[in-house]
This record gives sequence, structure tokens and C-alpha cells, in this order.
Amino acid sequence: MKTTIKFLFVTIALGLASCSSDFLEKDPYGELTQEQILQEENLEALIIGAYSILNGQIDNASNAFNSPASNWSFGDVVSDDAYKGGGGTGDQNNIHQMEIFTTNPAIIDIERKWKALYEGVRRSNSVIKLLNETGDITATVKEQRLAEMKFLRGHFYFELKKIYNRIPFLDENAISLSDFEVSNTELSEEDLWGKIEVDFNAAYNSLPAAQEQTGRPSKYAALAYLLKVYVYQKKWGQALAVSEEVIQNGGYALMDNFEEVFLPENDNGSEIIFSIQQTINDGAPNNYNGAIGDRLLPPGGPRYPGYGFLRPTQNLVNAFKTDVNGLPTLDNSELTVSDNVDARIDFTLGRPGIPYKDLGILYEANWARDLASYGPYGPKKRVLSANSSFYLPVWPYVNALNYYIIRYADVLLWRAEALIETGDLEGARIIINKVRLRIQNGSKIMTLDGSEMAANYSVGVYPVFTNYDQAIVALQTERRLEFAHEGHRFFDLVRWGIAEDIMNSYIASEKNIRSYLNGVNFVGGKHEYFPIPQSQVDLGGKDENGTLLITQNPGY
Amino acid sequence: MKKFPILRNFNLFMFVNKLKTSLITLFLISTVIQIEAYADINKKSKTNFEEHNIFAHKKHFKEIVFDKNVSIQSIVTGKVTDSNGVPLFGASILEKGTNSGVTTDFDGNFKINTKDGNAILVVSYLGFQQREISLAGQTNLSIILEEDSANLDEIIVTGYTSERKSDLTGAVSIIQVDEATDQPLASVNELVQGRSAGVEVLRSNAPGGNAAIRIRGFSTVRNNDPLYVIDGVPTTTGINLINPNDIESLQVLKDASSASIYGSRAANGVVVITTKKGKQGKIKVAYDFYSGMMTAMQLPKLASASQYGNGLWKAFENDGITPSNDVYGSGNMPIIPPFLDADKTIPSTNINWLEALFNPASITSHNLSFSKGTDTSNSFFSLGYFKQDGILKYTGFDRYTFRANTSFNVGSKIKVGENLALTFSNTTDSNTNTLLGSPIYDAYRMPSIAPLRNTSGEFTGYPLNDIQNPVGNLFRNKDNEDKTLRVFGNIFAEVDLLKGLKFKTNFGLTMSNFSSTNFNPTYVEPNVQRELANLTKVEQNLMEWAFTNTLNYTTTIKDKHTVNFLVGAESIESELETLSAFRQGFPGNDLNFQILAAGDAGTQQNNNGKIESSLVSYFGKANYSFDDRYLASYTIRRDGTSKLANNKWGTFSAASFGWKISNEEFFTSDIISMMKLRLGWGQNGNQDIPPYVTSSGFLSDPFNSNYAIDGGQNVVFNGYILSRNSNSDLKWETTEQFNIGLDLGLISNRLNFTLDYFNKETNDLLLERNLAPISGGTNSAVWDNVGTMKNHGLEFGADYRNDANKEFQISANLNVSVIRNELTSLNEGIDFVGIDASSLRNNNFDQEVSRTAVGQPIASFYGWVADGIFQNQSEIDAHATQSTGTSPGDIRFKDINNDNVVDDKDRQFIGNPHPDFTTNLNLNFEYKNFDMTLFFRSSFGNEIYDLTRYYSDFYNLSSYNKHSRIADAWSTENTGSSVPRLSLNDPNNNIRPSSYYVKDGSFVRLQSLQMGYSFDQKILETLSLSRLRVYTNLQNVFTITNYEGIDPEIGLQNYASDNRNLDIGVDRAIYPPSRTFTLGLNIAF
Repeated sequence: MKTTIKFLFVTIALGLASCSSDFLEKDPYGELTQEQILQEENLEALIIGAYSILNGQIDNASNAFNSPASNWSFGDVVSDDAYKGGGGTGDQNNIHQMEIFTTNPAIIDIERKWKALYEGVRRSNSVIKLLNETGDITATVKEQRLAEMKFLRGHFYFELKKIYNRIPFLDENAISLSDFEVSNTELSEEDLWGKIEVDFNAAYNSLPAAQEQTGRPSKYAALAYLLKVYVYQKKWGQALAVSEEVIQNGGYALMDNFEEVFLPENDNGSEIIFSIQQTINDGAPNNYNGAIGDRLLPPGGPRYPGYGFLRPTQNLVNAFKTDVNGLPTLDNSELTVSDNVDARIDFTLGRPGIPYKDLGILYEANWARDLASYGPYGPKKRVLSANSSFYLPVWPYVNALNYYIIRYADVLLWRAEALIETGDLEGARIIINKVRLRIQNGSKIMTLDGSEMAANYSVGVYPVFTNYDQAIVALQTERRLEFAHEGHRFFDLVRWGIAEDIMNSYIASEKNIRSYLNGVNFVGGKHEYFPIPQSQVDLGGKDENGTLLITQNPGY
Repeated sequence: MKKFPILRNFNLFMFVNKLKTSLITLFLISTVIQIEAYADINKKSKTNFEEHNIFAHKKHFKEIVFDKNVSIQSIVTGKVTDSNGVPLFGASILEKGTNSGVTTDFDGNFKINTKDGNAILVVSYLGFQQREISLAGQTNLSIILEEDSANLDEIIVTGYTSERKSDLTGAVSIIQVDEATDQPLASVNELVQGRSAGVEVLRSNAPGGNAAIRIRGFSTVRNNDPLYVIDGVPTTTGINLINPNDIESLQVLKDASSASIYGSRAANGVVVITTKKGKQGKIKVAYDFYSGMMTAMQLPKLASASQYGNGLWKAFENDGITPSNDVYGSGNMPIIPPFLDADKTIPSTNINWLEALFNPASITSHNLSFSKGTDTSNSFFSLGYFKQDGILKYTGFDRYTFRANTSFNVGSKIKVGENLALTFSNTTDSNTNTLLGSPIYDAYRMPSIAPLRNTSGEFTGYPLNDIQNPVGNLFRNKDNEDKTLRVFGNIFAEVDLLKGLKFKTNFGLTMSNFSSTNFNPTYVEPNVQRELANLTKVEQNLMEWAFTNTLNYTTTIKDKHTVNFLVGAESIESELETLSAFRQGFPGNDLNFQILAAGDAGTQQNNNGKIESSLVSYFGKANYSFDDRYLASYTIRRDGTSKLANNKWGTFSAASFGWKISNEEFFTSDIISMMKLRLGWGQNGNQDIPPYVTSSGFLSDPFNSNYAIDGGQNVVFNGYILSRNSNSDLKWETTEQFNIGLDLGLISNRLNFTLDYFNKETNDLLLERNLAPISGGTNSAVWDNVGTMKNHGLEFGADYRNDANKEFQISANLNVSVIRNELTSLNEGIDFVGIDASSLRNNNFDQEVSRTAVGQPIASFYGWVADGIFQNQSEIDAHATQSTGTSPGDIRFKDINNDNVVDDKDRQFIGNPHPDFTTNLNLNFEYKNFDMTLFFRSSFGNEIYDLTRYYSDFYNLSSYNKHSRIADAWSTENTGSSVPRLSLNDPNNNIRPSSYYVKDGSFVRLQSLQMGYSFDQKILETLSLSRLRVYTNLQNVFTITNYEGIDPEIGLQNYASDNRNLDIGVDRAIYPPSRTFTLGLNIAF
């Protein structure tokens, strides 16, 4: 009997221990290991992953509109070009707070945008680190891919710099999570710009003049971006030199018709220097590879969902008014139907009575959502025709039009600006006129029956710039009209140092029709930059003295 | 939903291999045992009387003295059976007022000599109500004893073993499940609701909705669901698929000392369920039926078409804007036009959209069971059908259940058996309690002027906003079904190796297939449309097995020392695979097109994911009882998990002590019949985290890793990204609990009190903590052990049952729970735990309203403090600056930091979703054939964040309907109002998260009122029935509350996320409770 019990215990004990030692080892399905990723084709896919973050879609949530690559909220709504729009001031109230300059560091957009850009930094850094470590890839490919990743990293830091100003800098050696605890005031403004310049210079040196795959930046894209970096620093001499080379050797050209620039068929065309590639119906769930950050922009009406965000201001509409010579009137008086107007207006925004795209119908005031709060106008420039096969007529109503980070008109007008700043008013005039001539000569919006122009379009060229002030105002106006609703306006105002003046005078007049602007005040020295996200301040770590590493921007 | 390029097939052989050694062991054991058993049977085959009474309460027998020397006056014979006619062996029959008594034989027969023919016999049997019978000359009696569920010495299934209730040393609640078949209960969790102190049931009123149970509060920040152990098989899924009628007994193990034997996964408490088995006797057939109607109740009063228009005009006036609206016109007064659109297709109306959303719905349940037991086998077989239509239109739930439980005694030593449940369910439901996509919340927002249908009879909407007609939305969803087929069961063998030594092996299996169809048809409404239909199909397969082997030894030494040892091992493996496919562009919306093949192949998407995890545990338990006075128990368990890397193994132990004071010699009390003190301490581990978080790799994620690098318009290249931030040092979360309890029985245990105090501390809380956003947006969190959480509380239960012999029977059960939760610490650098941005987006319109922070209860409300309404400009001037546009009628927010500016630094904790205390009261009355039950539930001091006010109270979301309270908004003529002035611009940002939204959620509810009638024995006999009862039941009879929303019981958020514990008590338009009237029938023969 006793032996039986012993035997039993032994067998049971064996049975209990029968689970083999790997029973508690479970490996994830569908994941590559740290070793596998170093193979060339896998590294190439990792590089694709870095490009993927350009559009601001950082996770599987549907709110990329909090971190839009197009900066419609960060660059347009907070400027004199656009109202937030939507179903009232409470709809996306966070963006409303930004619009009325009660921005606070806890606003979700502030955090999501920061996250999206630093995700880009992290992904590019990760590739750079792995490329530097591996020998599994041919040297030329490696050099080129390294350059591409530095281009991307330069882009993300540029965006961070222009939005948040005082930013922590991480390079590819930041690996462990504790490496991410970095001060945002350690580097001087000059040093930070220097880091960005280094990346674009490196990209310029190693990238080919043209890329086989158009989604990758070329040598001249890097140079054009370097130009942008110089312009933002007012390094006019370098800007002149660099812009010369881009114009001479880049092989870029303005398209004949302004309208065509914003068609997906041309979104890697001669005018496009670097853009974010967007696709629809590509097999991805929810079509997040489309222009997902702009998904609240469809203007309403019979063919679009009425999200109704990004609404042109009366001030912007008025800015298109031209005089008898076809030049901007600059007085911002109310545009009436009989006035002369720059033809770009009806490619840029929806106006009642003007045909909308190729839909065969007129835009009407009742397309616009919450007229009482946001007026009758709707966005148009980066909205595609509802008939286009590149527009997705189902949720999330995105399109496949690339977002242009830099297009050739940018380079031209930056060069013109550099010429003005260095005293060559005539050189600048020629370039500005070049941009205007495209409009003068290009196609216009016609009435529905095609019999005549839909409005009194009149675009003239500047005969002469007699002084700096006239020239710089002409340049600034031209940038506004050419790039309206492309996410640049606010950052231009800031770098020109006129944000406070322009915004406060805009608010003073606009509040008469948009009552929610009553009492709104742009505070100079504060509102030029957005606050550092509160979570970054809180979780960003402390130094050895227990002081927070992150310093909030002034005024917040 | 991740896309995985590499797929590993499930290999059945691998699975079998893992089991092989164990199965061989089992075979060897059973062979040995059979030989042993054969020898044993030959040795002794006599019945051991002692064994039958091994659990009998000694004190019971003290009063009975068997005296054979009384004078013979009268001989009475009889038979004692239970209500099913099963003979009761060993029942005692005592002549009242004498010491004369006998016990029944195997067949329940007895023979007793009484002093005279009018003597009174006292008949008692363990577990049955005692009866007194006047002989009145009768000499042959047929005595039926009713089961006494309140009897103290029930045998309770606890951890892998059974114990007498009186021997329990932990905090265990025993739920009276026999009432289940007598009531219209849809799910197991409803069965638990209100029956036990410290057990909270968070309801989901939706059909088939899975209510959640919280035992002793929220002990962790993540999954707080308890472990369910059904016939020895642990599970955490599919609880709403269990047929409550199949349940024989249900216990809730609340404290660590009772739950710890279940180790990992038991930190949130354990619900132990035993399903019905056949009982000895003739075949028993039972049929239980109920059917009823449900209606929506207490719907909020939304603004009428004119109230909304008047409010809008008032808002224009307050903002100094000339009123003008595409629908309400322009002029001094809003005009209700005949049509809302220029084409005159949308007629104006004045509809209550919430009422339009609901309709009366039916609920039906049929249950048929057969059972039989013999000396050598028993079997139970049941069929159940449950159907609940949703009061929300076009929704519903069907459940078909099948159960077969059988066991066989092989010889006298071996018992083998199985329990098997098959369930099929079919649900059509809709999002509720989420702000985006919830038709209920859309009904809050759709203006009353907008009609249900346009002039062509199609669903239409309001031309000025972007929401889909909520009824249209439900209609379009009506054919979208979620189907679940679940196989749950176990096979087991028990072997008596030696006297007192028992081996048990149990293999449990859960297999479930979930399949959902989601077809979104095309439609056109004024401002929303879907031009292409789309279809998503999802298949999810879960397979989980648990293999458990235990050895249990019980012995009594020298009549005073009872010891019980248990050792065991358990291994569990779980595998979940998901497959999904999508197409859009269908030839039509008809049902026959709702198949993927009918869609545009060019738009197809598919996805597949699979996760696995495993657990291994070794455990031991020792129980010791001395003289039925002192009880002690010790448990130790070692668990290993595949989810952790460097710290796979955790060891957890528990100890408890009990002192039956009333069994002491010195204890003499006429009032107190039972008194027991319990002390317990123990630990439980928790590893409920997603698998693989301790390592990282690279993967392709179709949401954010692909890119059209070649410039294409509809082709992307697959990219890889880092899969996650890993933490290989992650370790077990440990919950440590101390419990002290006192049980008191009075008046022969007819009145019982239980009082428990517990203190539960969870250390090394497992949480995906947010990193600084500089770490990016894709992997911006890491799993970590982040802090400690504490719950402590008092539980009080009182139970009364009057004398069983009284004609009028009363029983009452009252329980009171007081639980305090607090997050006591977080790691350096983490200030609070919040919910992630995407949940904030979809469920809160980006409003942060809850935070879980140190020193606060979990999910406390966070925001500005609304301190009344500014009455005039001088009050505004005297206050800190809020905004340049602040006007009289705006909310005054407190300047917490006294810097004279109200900004985001002035936020603080503004409310607590947890009740101060909850009480439940059950009252049962029986008079003759009538029975009546009243069930009250109440909660006091809990607060609700009424997020529905975001759209309902503020005109800066002007194109959406409002609550009727805006008619009472502040104005110079109405300065007493608590609703701020109406404004389209809201310059003061009144809409911001603040205590304006925080409301008292206390309530008292008569949850259930039931009346039944049981037919007389005589009638039953003519019908050949053993039982026939009819009843009516009314659920949600009334609720007393100050809360203005749909219901003060908010439950958990509906979005499937672990965040649901981090924003409890936030009202996002919940599925309303229904007032349900049912008629029911119980038949047995």
C-alpha cells in the first residue's frame, strides 16, 4: 500500500511537471525580431514606416485632425485666413480656444501635433541608428537612405521649431526611454537651427538629383528645404545662393493653370518639390492613408458631408479684391459681386453663386454649416470634386491629393523675398509677376453654361516697386493669395514679425461679423508660438536638482 | 487590429503533445486505482454511518438522547422524504417534550413509540426545515421536509474543495440561486445583484448586455472583473451566455484568504458556480417559463421645437447678433416653418426623438430540464431559450442554451463525469454610452423640429447638422448580427485512493466562435450620406483549456482534530485568433447582397491577428479544525505566466483563522445560537495584461506604417514600425488583503448577522503608463508597475427568517456596503493616470473629465469648480479674470491658485463616482399558497458627470437640440437659474469641464416586485405534478433620485477598453433601464 502511494505521488508529480519548459514562452505573431529587421528588405520597410508618419496619423484613432500634416488648424485657423468652422464654437472647442487665443498647454491638439512630429523624429532616428549598425545593405543605398531619413528628421524638427519654438532635440543615439528626458532650453535658437541645417545639408550632399520613386526627396528638395530654413532665419545671403541653384538645376516649373496644381493627377508634377503622398482605396482600413488630417474639411452641400471646418474669413475673401489694374486693393474693403477679383479666389474657396469644381452646381450659402457663427464661405482648394475617383465618398471622406510641403511657387517667392531684403526690388518684382502671370494667363472658373467667367477676374502685374515697403507688402500679399489655406499663413506672419499687428487689426474688424471674436486679443511675445504640451512638461523628467527639464513657452 | 504578414497555423499535434505526459499519468493513476478499488471492495463493503454525517453539526445531536426504555403507548410508522419524494436517510424524529427519538433508515422509513396518540413529533434533517407534526391519532405518516436554504451547514464549494459553511474562515457570500428559477433573470450577474454586501453589479441595460461585477471595489486600474470558476473550470469570458436556470449554487469569494487558492486572476474575487446535477430519486422534469413586456422609463425631457427656437433667439440676443437661421427664419421671433428645406421635402414637426427611439419590447424565456440520479450515476439535461427584444428599436438578443451534466460511479471509489454547455447567441445591438455614434446620444442632439421621415417616406434629418437620423441609423443596422457559439465544459475523474484521500483530475475547455456582420447601407439625408455601402465581417475564435489535478486528504484524529490537505497543479493555455474582411460598393442594400462576394473586389481589405498566453500553477492548502471550535487554513500558490519575462513566477500565500465561540463550553446564551470570529490575510497575483508587452519587435500596422513611396494614388508599400515599448522587468501585481469578520446567529439561527471589515492593498499596479509625448504618438506608453491602490470597507449583512412552522412566512435580507477606494501612490514622475487621447476623442469630445490621481479614488472627476452664476458686472469685476467676454449669466469658476486668472491651472478634483454606501433589501413573504418578493436597491453619495449636457445645455453647439432646462436659463428676468445664459459664442467657455456637469447620483429603487401562487398538493396530484406555480414580476417599479439624466446607474462605458475603469460614472446617454412586466410559470413533475 505504501509503495502504491509513493508511486502515485511520483507519477502525479511527473504529470504536474509535464508541461515542457517552453510552455511559458509565447512569441508574438507577425513581428520581426531585432535581428530580422536588419535585413535589407526589412530595413527598406522600416524606412517606409518612417515616411508613413508624415501625414500625422500616429495610431489607429480617427482624430488625425488634431495633428494635421496640412496645419489647417495651426497655420490657417489661427491666422486671418480662416475660422475654425464646424457645428458651432463648441464643436472641436479645443481648436476654438486656439482660434480665440485662449490656447492652453492641456489642449489635445497641442499634444497630438507634438506627438506626431516627435513620432517622425523617433522613426527617422531609429532607421538612422539601424542603418549605421548594419552591413546587410549596399553602401550606396545605405548612404541614400540615411540622407532621406535626415531629410525627414529635418522636416519634423523644422515643423516643431516653427510651431513650438523651444523644443528638446534628440538624435539617433537616444535609444532607451530615459534618453528621452531632455531639456528644451539646452540648445540655443541658433544651435537648433544649426542642427536642422546639418540634416538638410547632409541630405543635399547624398541624395540623387532625381528619385526613381517620387515619394522620396531629391537633392533639390533638400536644398529647397534648406532655403526655407534660411528664410525662417532671415539668412538672406544663403537664401539667395541656394534658391539660385534650386531654380537653375532643380528642373521645377510652375504649372500653366493654378487649378491643376491641386489635382491628384499632378500631385507629383513639375511644381511639386516635396509632398506627403496620400492614397485612398489602398486596402488600408479606414483609408487613413488619405488626407486624414483634413477629414473635417468637406464643405457640405448635396455631395459632401457637412462637417464644415476650415472656413474662409471675410478678410481673406476681401484680400482677393483687385483694382482696375488687377492689383490687390490692400484696403480689405468688402468684396462685392461687381468688383474685380483675383481669379485664385474661386480656386481657393467656395463662394455663393460660383460653380463648385466640376459638379455642375453652384456653391450656395446653405452648404455652409452654422452660418450664424462662421459665415457663408467654404473651403475649396484642397477639396476634390465629389466626382473624382480620388475622393472617397464614404467615411472618412478623405482624398488622395498630396499635401505640398514645398512647391515651386514657394521657392520663387522666397527668392523674391530674399531679393527684397537684400535690396534687389526689381529682381523680386520679376519673380512675383511670374507667379501672377500664371493666374493672368491661366484658366478661370466659368459660369455653369461655360459662356463667361464666373466673376470679374482681373490679375495684373506690378509695374514697378518704388520702395522696400511697397515691395515687401506686395510679396506678403502674394504669398497670402497664392498659399491661402495651405497651412502657411500664420507662420509667415510670425516670421515677418507682423503677427500681433495683423491679427489684432483683423480681429478688430472681423468681430463685427463674427461676434465670438469680441474681446479676443493676440498677445505679442506669447501667441507667436504654441505652448509646450502640459504632459511634456509634467512627464519630461527632472534634472539632478529636481527641476523640470522642460520650460514652458513665455506667457503660458 | 494588427495586420500580420507571418501566420503560424494552430497545430493540434503540438497541443496534444503538451498534454501527452499528463494524459499518460492520468491513465496510470486510474489503472492503479482500479486495482486498488477492486481489492478494497472485496475487503469491506459495509456502509459507514459516520461518513454520511461527517459534516453533521455535533451540537444538534446533543439534545437528542436515544432512550429505548420508555413505556409503549402507541406505535407510529412513517416515511420522511424531501419535496421531490426522495427518501431522507438519517432524519431524526423526536417526540416533543420527551427524550424519545429515532432516525430514519435508508428508505426514509421510521418507527417510533410514542406516549400517546396525540403526541407531537419533531422531524429534523440536516439542510431541511424542521417540522412539528401533531399525530392526532394518525399512525402512519408521510412527512415531507422542505429544504432550508438558510441552514447553516450547507456544503460550500470553495477552492477546489468543499467546506461546511460553518467552517468558512474567509469572506464568502452564498447566493440563494434556487430563487433564480422563480424569477425572470436574464443572466448570472443579475442573480448576484444586490444579494451580497461588497458585491456591486454594474448593469448594462442593453439586451444580452454583459453586466460587470465588482467585488470589494476597484482593486486595480485595469481589468477589475472577477474570475468565474464554473464546475472547477476557470473562465473570464462569456458570462452572459450562461443559463442562470442551470445553476445549482453560486458563491462569491470576496477576500484573499478564500480566493487565493485560485491565485492569479483571483485578485478581483472569485465567483464559484456549480451547475445542477441529477438528484437521487425518480426522474424530475421541470419547466420554467416567463414572458413579458419592457418599456423605456424616465426619459429626459428634451427641448421642443419652439423651446429650441426660443433658446436660439435668446442666444442671438445675448451675443448681440441679429437673429437669423436657415430653418427658424429671421425676425423678432423664431418661426416654425412648414418645411425645413427649400424643396419642401422635409416637413417640420415637434417630435420627441428619445421617445421615437424606443418601443415596447418583449422578453421570453423557456427552460426545460430533466434530471435523475441513482446510486451509481446521475444526469442532468436542460434546454433553454431566452429572447429579449431591445426597447431600442431594431435591437435584440437571442440565446439558446443546452447543458448535459453526467457522472458515473465506477465501483465505490471512482467517479467520472462531464459537464457540457453549448450556447448560441445572436445579438443586434447599437453603441450606447459613448458620445460618438450612439443613436441615443444622437437622439439627444437631433432637433425636435426635424421629422422622422421626409415627404417621400424616407428617413431624413436636420439640414443644419451632421448627425444621422438615429432611428434611421438603427433601422440600417437591423440586420447586423453578432453571433457567438460557445462550447464550455469539463471532464473529470475523482478517485478515492484511501480513506480520506481523494485524487481529482479535471480538464476544462472553452471554445467560442464569434462572428459578426456589419453592413452599412447607402443612404442620403440632408447633410449626411453614404454613397457606397460597405460590409465588414469579423470572425474571432477563442480556445482555452485548463488542466487541473488535485490530491485531497481529509482525516479526523482522536475525534477532535480534523485536517484537510490539498495539493494540486494547473496549467492553462489560451489562444485568440481574429480574422476580418471588408469590401465596399455593393449593388444594393438588400439582405441578399450582404455578402462580401457581392462587393467591389478592388476595395477589399483583410486582417488577421492571433495572441496566445499560458499559465502554470502549483498550489497547496491545509485546513485544520480543532474540536469544531478553532479553525485554521493556510494556502500557498506559485504561478508562472507567459506574459512576463524576467519575473515569470510569483508566489502568493494566505492564512485564515476562525473561532466558533458559540461552541465553547463557557458559551451559554439563549439568544445567540452561533457566533464565529474570522480573521484572514492573503495575497493574490494579477497578470492581466496583454501578451508580449515584455518584448518588442517590428510589425506592419495598416493604420500608420504604410506609404505610397512611388507616388501612387491607391497603392501603398508595407512599412514596419516598432511594435511597442517593452519592459522585460515587468512583474506581478499583488493584492494583499486583510479581513476580519463576525458571524452571529440568533433565535436558532433564524436571525443572522455578518459583519466584515476588509483592507485591500494592491501593489505594483500594472498599467500602461503614458510617456512624455516626446516619445512619439505610436508607442507613447509602456507597461509598468506603477503604484499602489487601497480599498477598505465594511460589509454588513442581516438575514431573518421567521419560524418555519408559522403560516405567515417572512424572510428578509439586508446588506450594506461601505467601500473607500484610493490610489495611494504612483511612481516618481507620474502625476496621474488618465485615459488616452483616442478614447477622449470618441467618447468625450476631447474633454478630460476624469483622472486617477494619488490621494483620490479611481476615476475622480476633474475640472474647474463652477461656483454659481455671475449676477452682475460688479461680481465679474470683483472676480479673477476668466475672459474678456464674460457677462452676467456666465458661470463663475473658482480661482483655485489665487493668481487672479482662471486658467487651466485652476482645475481640481470635483467629484467622486463612488457611492458613500449602498444598501440592498430583499423581503419575502409567504402566506398559504401565496408568495411575494420585494427587492430594493439603493446607493448614496455617488456622483455622476453628466456629459450629455455638453450638447444639451450650450448653444455654442447651436445646430443640435437642447434639454428643456434651457428654457429656464439665466437671464436678467430669471436670475435665480442655475443654467448659464445662452450664447452661441460662449466667450466665458461655460462649456468647459467643470462641476457644473457633476450631479448627485444617489437613488433608491424598487428593483423588483413579485407575487406568486403555488397550487395545492391536491390539485398537483390530480395533475400528476409535483409543483405548479404562477407569478408576476415587475422590474424597475420606481426610482427615487434627483438625477435628471436617463438613469443614475451609469454602469461602465460601452467601448471595449480597459479605460472603462478610469472614467466610470460619466453619463454619455446610457441604454435606459426598462420597466419590465412578466408573467411566469414553474412546473415540475
